[in-house]
Amino acid sequence: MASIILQNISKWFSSNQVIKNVDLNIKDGEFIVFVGPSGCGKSTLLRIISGLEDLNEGTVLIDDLDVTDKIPYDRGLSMVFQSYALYPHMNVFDNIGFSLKTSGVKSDILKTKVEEVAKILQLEDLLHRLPKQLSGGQKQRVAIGRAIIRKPKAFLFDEPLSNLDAALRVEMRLEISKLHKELGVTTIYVTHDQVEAMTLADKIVVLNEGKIIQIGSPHKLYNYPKNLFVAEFIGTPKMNILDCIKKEGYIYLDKNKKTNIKTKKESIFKLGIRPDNIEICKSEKNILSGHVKFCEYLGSEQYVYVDCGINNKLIIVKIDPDIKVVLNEKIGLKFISKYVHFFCKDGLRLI
Amino acid sequence: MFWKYGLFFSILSGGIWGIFWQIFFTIVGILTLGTPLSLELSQIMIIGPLAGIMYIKSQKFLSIKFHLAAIIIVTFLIFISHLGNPYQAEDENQIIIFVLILLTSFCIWVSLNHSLYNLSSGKLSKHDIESFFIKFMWGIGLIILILITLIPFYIMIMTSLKNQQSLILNPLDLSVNLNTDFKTLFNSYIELFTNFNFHLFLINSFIVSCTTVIITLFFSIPGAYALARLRIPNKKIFSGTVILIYLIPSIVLIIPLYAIFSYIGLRNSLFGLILVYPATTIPVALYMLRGYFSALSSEIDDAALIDGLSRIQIILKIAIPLSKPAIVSVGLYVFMIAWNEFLIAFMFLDDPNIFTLSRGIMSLNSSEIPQQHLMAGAVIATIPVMIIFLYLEKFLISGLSAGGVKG
Repeated sequence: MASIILQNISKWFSSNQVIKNVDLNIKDGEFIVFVGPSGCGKSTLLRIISGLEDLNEGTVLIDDLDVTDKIPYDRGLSMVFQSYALYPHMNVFDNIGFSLKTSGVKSDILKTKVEEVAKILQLEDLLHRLPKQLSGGQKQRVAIGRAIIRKPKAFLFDEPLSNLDAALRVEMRLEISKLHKELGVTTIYVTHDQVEAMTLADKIVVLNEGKIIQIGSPHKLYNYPKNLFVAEFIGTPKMNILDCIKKEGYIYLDKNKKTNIKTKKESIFKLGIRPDNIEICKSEKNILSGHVKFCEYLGSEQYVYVDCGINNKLIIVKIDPDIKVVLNEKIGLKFISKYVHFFCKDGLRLI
Repeated sequence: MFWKYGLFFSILSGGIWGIFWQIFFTIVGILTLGTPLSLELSQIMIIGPLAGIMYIKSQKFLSIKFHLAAIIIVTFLIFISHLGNPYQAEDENQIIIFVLILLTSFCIWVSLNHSLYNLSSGKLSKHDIESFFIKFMWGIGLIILILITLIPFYIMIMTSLKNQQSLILNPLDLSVNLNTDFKTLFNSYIELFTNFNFHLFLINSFIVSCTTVIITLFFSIPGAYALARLRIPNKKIFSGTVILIYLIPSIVLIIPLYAIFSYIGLRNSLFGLILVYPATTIPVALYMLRGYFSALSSEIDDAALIDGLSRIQIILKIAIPLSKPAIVSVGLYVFMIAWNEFLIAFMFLDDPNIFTLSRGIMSLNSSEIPQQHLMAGAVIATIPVMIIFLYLEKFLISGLSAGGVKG
C-alpha cells in the first residue's frame, strides 16, 4: 500500500508531446480511474507509473521515494493488461506464481501462496489448465491473481474489461470493486468506459490531449463539471449543449426561442442540460417547443430527440417509458433550472 | 450454352485425364521395360471422353461391381483401338503392357470419379461448375507436383544401385534386379565410404551446418527480438538494409572473399566456411524471426517486465518457448542452406580431408568415376536432410502461442 505522486510529468513520442506537465497526487488506498477519449494519453500515463515507459521530464514518487529511474519490478507495482497477457506456455499455477518464482521464493511457500490466491479468485480447479483452455472471464481472473500474489504497493489496470462481453463485464467490475474493498490497495484503473469509471472510482481523473482536465469524485464530475469537455464526456446520453443568449433576464436559444430559465449570470455563451433534467409538457406559447424526431425505448427509460429548429441540433430528453410519444408531435420542453450549467466563451463553467 | 452442361465437363475431363495418364504410363513403361515405347494419343482422345460420358450417364447406379466392369470395358476399348498392341512394343513384354493398360484405365476411372462425383449430365448450377473446377484442378495439380518431386528422386536412387555394365548397356532401364546380393546392389555406397572418404565429408558437412545454425540463431534471436520490440534509432533503415545482402549474388562476393581469406590464411579451412555461412544466413533469419516476434503480443513482455524479468530473461523464458515453431523452421532452413552450399565450399576447400558433401560430390565428377557413384553421393547428401525434416516436422506445427492473449 502506498501513495503515488506524479510531479510535472512530460512525455514525447518523437516530436509529439503526449503527456503535458501532469501533476497528480494519489493517496494511500484510493481507487483512481483515468478516463478520456482514445489517444488522450491515459494508458501512456499508466505505463509511465509502472515503469514500462520512460519519461522525458518529471518525477514519480511512490511512498515519497523517487522511483523515476527504477525498473518496473523494483517499483513494487503490479499490472493487469487489456489482453490479459498470460504466458501461453505455462499453466495457471505457473502463471500466478511466476513473479515469486523469478524472485527465488521456495517452492513450498510458493505453493501455499498460489493456492491462497486461487481460493480468493475461485481458480482452485483450474490450476493445471493452460490459458487457451480458459474462458475470457477466467483468464482475467488469472491475470488479477498474478497481480495480487506479490502483495504490491499498488494495482494498475489497463482497460482490463474491454475484451469481455457485456454481462461478464458487469460481473468482473463488481469483483474488482470487492477486491479493492478487501485488500485496500491503492489502485489506478484506466478505461474509456465511463460507466466503469463512475461505478468503481473514489476519484476520477479526466484526461484530454495529454492534460488533466479535472479530478474529482464521480458525484462532483457529474454535477459540477469544470468545463464543456468534462460536461460532455461524463454521462450517457450526453449532456445537451446549446448556444444561447441572455435577453431581459431570460435565456434564449435563438432570437425568438425563449426558455423558462432566468439567470443573473453574465457573459453566457452556452448552456448545458442533461436529458434527465428536462421535462416535457403541452406545447404552449412562451414555452420552448419542438417536434419529436426519434424515439428510443429502453424498457426502464425512454429517450426522445426533439427538433426545436436550432441549427439542426436535436435536444435529447429522457422521459418516463410509459408515456406514449408520437413522431412529429409538437411538444414543449421545460428545463429544470437548478440543473442548468452555463459556460463562458473559453468553455469554462460559470459558477 | 453447351459449356454449362455436365456432359461437356465429362467429355473435357475424360479427354484430359486420358491424355495425362496415357503419357504417364508410357513413361513408366519406358522406365521399367528399358525399351522405347511409342506414345499413342489419338485413340485415348476418343476413349477418355467416352469413359467420361459413361461415368456421368451412370451416376445413379454406381457400385463397386459397376466400377470394376467400367475399368475392364475401358481396358478392352484401349486394346481394341490399338489392334491389340497398344505401345507398338515387342511381344515378350505383353504381360507388363497389359498391366500398364489396366493401370491406365483404372487411373482414368478413379480421376473421373474424383472430379465428376455427384455431377448431373444436364444443365449445371454455378456452384456445381465451381466445385468441378476446384476438384479437377486440385487433382491435376497434386499429381503433377508429386511426379516432379518423385521422378528425379526415383531416377537418382535407381541409378545409384546399378553397376557400370548395365548402365552403359541401357541407360534408360531403371528397373533394379533385387535378386543380386547386398554387396553388389550397394556397391557404389560401399565404394564411396571406403575409397572416397565420404564418411569424412559427412562429418565435415555436419560440423559446418550445425555450427552455422548455432551461430545464426545465437545472433539472430536477440537481434530479431530487439528489432521487434525495442525503440532503436533508425530501426527502419537498419532492418530494411539488413536484407540487402541478398541482392548481391554470392559469386560477386566470393572473389574479394577469396583474396582476403587467402591472405589471412582462412581459405582451405572449415573455420573459414563457418565465418562466411552465418554472414549470409543471419539476415534472412533476422527477417523471418522479427516477423514472428512482432506477431507475439507485446503485453506479454510487459507483464514479464512487471514480474521482474530482464530483457535477456524474457527472450529465454518467454520469447523462445513461444516461438519454437518459428525457430525450428529458421534453424532447418539455415541448416539446409549450409548443407547444400556449393559455390563457397568449391572455391575455398582444396584439401580432400576437409571437403563438405557438396564439394565432395563435385570431386567425383570426372570421367574416371562411374556415374552411379555420383548418384549414390547425391543420395547420401539428401537423406540426412530428409530425416531431420521428418523428425522436426512435429515442432513446425504452430499454434503454441494461441490462447494466452485475447484472440
